[in-house]
Amino acid sequence: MSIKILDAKGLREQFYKELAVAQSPSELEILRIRYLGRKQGSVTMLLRSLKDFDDREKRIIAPALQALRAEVEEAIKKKSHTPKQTTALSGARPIDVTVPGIVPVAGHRHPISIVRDELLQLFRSMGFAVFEGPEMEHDFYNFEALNFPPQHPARDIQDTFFVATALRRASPHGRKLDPKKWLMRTHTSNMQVRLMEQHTPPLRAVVAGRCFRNEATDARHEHTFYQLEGFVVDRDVSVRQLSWTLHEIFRQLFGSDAKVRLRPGYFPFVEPGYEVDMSCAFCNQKGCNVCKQTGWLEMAGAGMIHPNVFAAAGYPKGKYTGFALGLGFVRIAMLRYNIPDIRMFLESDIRFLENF
Amino acid sequence: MLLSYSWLKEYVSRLPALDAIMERLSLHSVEVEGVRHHGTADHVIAIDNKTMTHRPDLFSHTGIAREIAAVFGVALRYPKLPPLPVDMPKLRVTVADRQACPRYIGVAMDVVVGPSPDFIRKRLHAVGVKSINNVVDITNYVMLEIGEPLHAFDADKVAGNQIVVRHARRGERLKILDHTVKTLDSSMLLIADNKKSLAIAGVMGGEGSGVTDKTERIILEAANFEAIGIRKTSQAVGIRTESALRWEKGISPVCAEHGVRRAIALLQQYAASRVTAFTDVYPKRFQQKPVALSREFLARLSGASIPPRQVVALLESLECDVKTVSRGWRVTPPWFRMDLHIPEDIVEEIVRLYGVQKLSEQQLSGTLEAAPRHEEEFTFTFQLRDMLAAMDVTEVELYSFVGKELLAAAGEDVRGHVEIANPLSEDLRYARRSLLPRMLENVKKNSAFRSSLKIFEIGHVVDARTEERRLGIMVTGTGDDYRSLRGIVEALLAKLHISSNASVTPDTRFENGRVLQMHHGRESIGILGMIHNIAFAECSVVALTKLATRAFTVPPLSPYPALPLDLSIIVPEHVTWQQIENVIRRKGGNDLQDVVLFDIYRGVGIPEGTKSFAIHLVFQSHTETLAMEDIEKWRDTLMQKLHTKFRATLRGQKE
Repeated sequence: MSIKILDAKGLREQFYKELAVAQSPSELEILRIRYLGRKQGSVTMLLRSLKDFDDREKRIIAPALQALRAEVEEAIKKKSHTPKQTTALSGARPIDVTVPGIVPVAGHRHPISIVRDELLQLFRSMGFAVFEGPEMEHDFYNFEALNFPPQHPARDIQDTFFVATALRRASPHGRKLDPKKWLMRTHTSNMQVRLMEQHTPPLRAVVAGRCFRNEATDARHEHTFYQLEGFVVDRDVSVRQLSWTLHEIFRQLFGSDAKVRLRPGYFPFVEPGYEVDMSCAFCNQKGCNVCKQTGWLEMAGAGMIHPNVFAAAGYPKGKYTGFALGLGFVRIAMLRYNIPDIRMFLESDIRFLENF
Repeated sequence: MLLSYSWLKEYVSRLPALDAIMERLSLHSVEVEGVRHHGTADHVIAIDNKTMTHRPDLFSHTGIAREIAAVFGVALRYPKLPPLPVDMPKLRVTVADRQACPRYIGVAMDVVVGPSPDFIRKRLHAVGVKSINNVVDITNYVMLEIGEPLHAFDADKVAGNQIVVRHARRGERLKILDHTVKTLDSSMLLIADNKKSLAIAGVMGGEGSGVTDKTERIILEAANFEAIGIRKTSQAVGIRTESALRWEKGISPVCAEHGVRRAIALLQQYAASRVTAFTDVYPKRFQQKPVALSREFLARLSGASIPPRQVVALLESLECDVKTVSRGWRVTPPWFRMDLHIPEDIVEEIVRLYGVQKLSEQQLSGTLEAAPRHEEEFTFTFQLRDMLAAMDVTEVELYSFVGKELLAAAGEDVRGHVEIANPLSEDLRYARRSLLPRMLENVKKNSAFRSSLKIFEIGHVVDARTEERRLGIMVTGTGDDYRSLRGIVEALLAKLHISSNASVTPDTRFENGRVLQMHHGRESIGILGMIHNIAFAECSVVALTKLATRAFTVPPLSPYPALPLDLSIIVPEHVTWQQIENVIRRKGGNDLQDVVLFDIYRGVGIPEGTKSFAIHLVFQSHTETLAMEDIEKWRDTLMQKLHTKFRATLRGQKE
C-alpha cells in the first residue's frame, strides 16, 4: 500500500518535470496520453491497480489518486491555453492591437469628496488632526464663543438658518445650551471652541464639512456649501507662521508658482484678520474675467485667534496664541475642473459624476 | 462705498496717483474694488468696506483720506472747523433715553434755501447722491465728508420749537421722506416735538418736517445714536439708509461735534445762515481708554521685530497718542476709532501699516504626535468611499434639507423631523432624517440618462435627539437589484471583516412593509429593502467604524482536496432562502466551507407555485480526505430533513 502512495508522489514529481519541458500542443498531447491514456497512462494504471486492495486501503488511496488525475488534467489544460504559445506554431489569426479595450467597471468619487480628501491629506501630512464636526450646531459654538457681538450682521435671520424645533441635546463639558438656539452651522469655525475646550494645546486641527447660508441659489451661490478650517494653538504661534502655512497650502494645491497675498480683513474671531488672495492661474495675473481683471482670486480668510475665543474655551489669558484659516473648497473644485455652475455639485447628475 | 478722487484731493495735499492708491490701499487698509472715469476731470473709486463693521471711520472721505495719508506717509488736511457757538440761547432739547442717544446737538438757524454751490453739487453727483437744495445737500455732504449723519428739520413744522428724543409709542405712525407710512413700536427711537413725531432717529426723517424751498428756519441735528438700536429699527421698518448703515457701526460721539461745526460753517457760507439757538446734550463725555502693548507681545504675535521707533511712527500716523513705557507703549486711540481696545487691535494696526506682506514666512514647527486625535468615524469614511467606488458604485452629494412632498414620495412623514424656522422655501423646510428621500429623487432623475444606476452617499442625518452619519446605497436597473445591492453590502462587510446576522423587520416605507436588518450581536448595522422597485440600503457609519476589524485570523489552507456538490432544490414559493440555508449550514457542520445560491428558477419543468434553488456547496476538511460517497449520503439525509420540514424535493428526482 505504501508503495503505491510513494509511486503516486514520484509520479507527480515526474509529471511536473516533463510538463515544464513540453511546449507545443503536440508535446502536451503526448504528455497527456503518457499519464492519462486509457490503456497505458501511468495514473490510469495506478488507479486500475486499486482493485487489488482491500476496502479500507482503497478508501484512503483512491481520493488521492483521483485528485492526482484531476490535477494532471488541469495542468495540461492550463498550459495549452497559455499565451506563451506562438501563433506560428498553432496557425491562429494575428491579433489586431488597435481594437479598443474592455474597460473594467468602477464607480466614481464625487469631486467635492476628491478635493476634500486631497486637502485633508495635505494638512494631515503637516500634523493636523482631522475633523468634520456636526452640521446642526448651537448658537454658542457657531457665534457666541467666536466673539460675534449679539447683534452682529452675520447672525441675522437673513444669513443663518435657524432651527425651529427645541433640541435637548447633551452638551460637551456639561455646558448648558439653550434648546431654542440651534441653527445650521454657517462656517466650520464652529469646531474651534469645541476642540479647544476638549484639548490642551499644542493643538493642530483641520475641519472640513458642510455649511449652510440662507441665500438664494444661482450659478455662483448655494445654500449648502463646503468649508475647510485649519487652526493651530500653541505658546508662540505668529503671523509669520500663518503666512507660511497659507503659502504652503496654495503652493501644494496650485503649483509652486502660485503667489499668495494677505491684506487686511475683518472677522470677529481673529485679530489681526486677513483676506487671502491667490494669483489667478487662468490669466497668469494678466487680468481676465475670472479674476475680474485684478490678477488675484480671493481664496481664504485668516487671522490670529481672538483672545475672547480663547476665553470661551477656558484657556488662561495670554498663555496661548494661535491662528485660524478658512477656505471654501467648492471654489477650488470649480477652478480646478472648470465647472461653471456651483449647483452641479449637489445636483449630482450621473453624467457629471462620471467625469471623475 | 463710492469716493471721488478729486474730492479726496482736498484732504490729502499730495494725493498719490490712482493706480498707486488702488494697489496699496487694498494691501494696507481697505479693498479697492474698482475705479472708473467720471466726466472728464474725475474718477470714482469704489471701496469694499461692507465687511468693516468695526470701522465707522472708513465711511467718509476724510476717513479714507486719513488712511491714505497714513499708508503713503503724506500729510492730511482736515477741514477747518470753526468753534462751536457760544453765548447762544438754548434750544429746548429733551433726551428721554441716554443709552439710545448718548449725545444730541441741536442748532436753530435762519436759512435761505436755494441751489447748492457747484463744488457740492459736483461732488454729490460723483458719488451718486442727488442734489436737492443747499440745506439738504450740506447735511449729506458733511456725512460723506466727516462721517456724521446729519438731519435738518423745518423749524416752523416743529411744534413748540423743541426737540424730544424718545421711544415711539406702540402703534404710533409716521409718514417718512420716501412717502411711506410706518407703524412704529416702543423699541424704536424717535425724534419728536412736544406734539408729534418728526423722524425715525438715525434712519429717516418725516415728510411733514423736511426742508423745502419754502423753509426759512431749520433745526439742525447732529447726534449720536447707539448702534444696535438703530440696526434693529432699520431692519424692522425695512429701510437701510446711508445714515443707518453708519450708525450701525458705532460712530464716536465726538463726531457729532465735528459734523455740526463743519455744517454750521458751510451753511453760513452757502445758505446765508445765522445761528439763533444751540444746545449740546452730552451727559457722559466719551473717554478713550489707553491700551497697553508690550514689545514682547508685538514680537510674539507678529513673529517679527519691528524697530520701536517705527512702531511709534506708524501708530502716530493713525493719530494715536503713543507713550513709550518700560515694557512697550501706552497707546491712546484717536477720537474716531471705536475699535481699539486690546493689544491685539494695536498689533493689527502696526502690522498692516508696516505691511504684512513684508513679513517673511516662518515654517510652522512643534512637537510630533505619534497618534493624532482624528475624528475616527470621519477618517474611516475615506476608506468606505474608496471601497464602494471600486465596487462600481458612484458617490453622490445631496441636499440636507427636505420638504413634505419629497418625504411623502419616500413613504416618510414630517413628524419626527427637525424643522428650520426660516427655510429658503417650503420644500427645504426640514432637516433630513434619512438619506432615502433625496437618493430616491436623484435616482429617479438620473434614470433618464442611465438605465442602470448604483449610487452611494455618506452624509449626516438628524433628529431631535442626535445627529449621525449614515451610508446610503441605492441600486436600480441591474436586472436583480436587491441581490446586487445585498452583494455590495456583503462585499463591504467582508472587506471590513465584520460578521453579521440578518433578520426581517417591519418598515412601512418599503415594499411589503419589510426590510432585512443586518446586525452584529445587538448592534444594528443597517437595513436593506425595496422601494418603488428600487433597492436601497442604509447603514450606520458609527457601527461600521466600531465593528471593522483590521486584525483577523487567516484560516489555514487545508491540504486535503475540496469536494463540490451541486443541488437543485425545489420548494414551495413561500419558503425563504434563509430557511433552507439555515438547515444546510446546521447539517453541514465544520466541513461545509461554502454555500452559494447561484440561481433561483421558476417556470417550465417544475410544478406551479414552486421555485428551484440552484446551490453549489463545497466540502473540505482540515483533518482528512472526504469521500464522495459520504457527501452523497449526507445529501440524502439533508433532503429527507428538507422534505419533512418544507416539502422540498431534489430536481430531477421523483417525490
